Amino acid sequence: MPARFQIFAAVAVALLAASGASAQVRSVTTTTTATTSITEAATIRRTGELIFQDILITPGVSMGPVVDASGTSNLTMTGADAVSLAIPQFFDLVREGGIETLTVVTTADGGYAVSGLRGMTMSAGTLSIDVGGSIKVNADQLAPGEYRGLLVVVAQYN
Amino acid sequence: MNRLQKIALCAAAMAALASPAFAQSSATVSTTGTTKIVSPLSIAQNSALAFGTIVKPGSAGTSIITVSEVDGTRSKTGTAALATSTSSRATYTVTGESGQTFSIGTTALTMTRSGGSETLPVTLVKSGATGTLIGGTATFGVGGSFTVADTTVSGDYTGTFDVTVTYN
Repeated sequence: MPARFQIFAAVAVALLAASGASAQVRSVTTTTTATTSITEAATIRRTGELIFQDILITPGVSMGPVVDASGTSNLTMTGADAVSLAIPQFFDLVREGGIETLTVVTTADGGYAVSGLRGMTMSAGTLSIDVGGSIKVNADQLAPGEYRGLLVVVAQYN
Repeated sequence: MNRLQKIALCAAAMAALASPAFAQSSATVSTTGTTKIVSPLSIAQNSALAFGTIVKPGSAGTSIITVSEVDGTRSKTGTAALATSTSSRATYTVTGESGQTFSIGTTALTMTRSGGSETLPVTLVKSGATGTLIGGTATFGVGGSFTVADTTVSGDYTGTFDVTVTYN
């Protein structure tokens, strides 16, 4: 190749290289990662009512100062990951056809302390917990009848 | 004046007449050549786009999950729930020549479930179509939204997208 063509070729290569460098600094790109995690909606199902044993009152016969009745209900939750459960410390039973009330002190198994919103972790997407309660009353002052109340347990994802 | 002298005088006169004609066939104009040298453009990602954990609708229906491109706030429509988790918009810092403007472009984003083939198309939203390098730097954000249904398969979804900035 004649010398002058060699020079021309070298200049052309240099120009091509220069244009490539220019393009790199005029426009730059970065790659970003996007993520999300989709989980099942939590469900809570009551598998057993909280039923207290009968308190028998014999008219004219004192039963002592306090009668202790207890019962247990079971709740099963399904979902995923960690949840929080809120169980009230107390709730009232009201006599049907009347206004008399009995206060139930709630309890829960599995070392779950009742009060406020407490975190728990489901195992394989399921969590089973027993919620119970006890009633302490002065039976001599108890109005006969059936008492009913509502125990509201709230579960939510953390 | 002899004959030779007459011929020389005549030639000189013709040359003198011809000179102006040569000057008119040449013209000159001045042209300015300019260039502007600017610093190279660069971009760095400060945070990724994270929608966090979403509890899909428990009954038939859909919800739209959004992460704001402006401040990263997460919001939703419908009955899906936003579980407590880390979420963020994507943010970037661009460096280059102060005072220069640049355009912002993104590619499409589709997230795919880890260990599966299910996908979630994402609509990306930029905090601006262009930016200005003030003091040699500028920042911007990218958010987005996607639809989750009760039929969406649970799991971790991940995807990538490119962000390109170009000098205007």
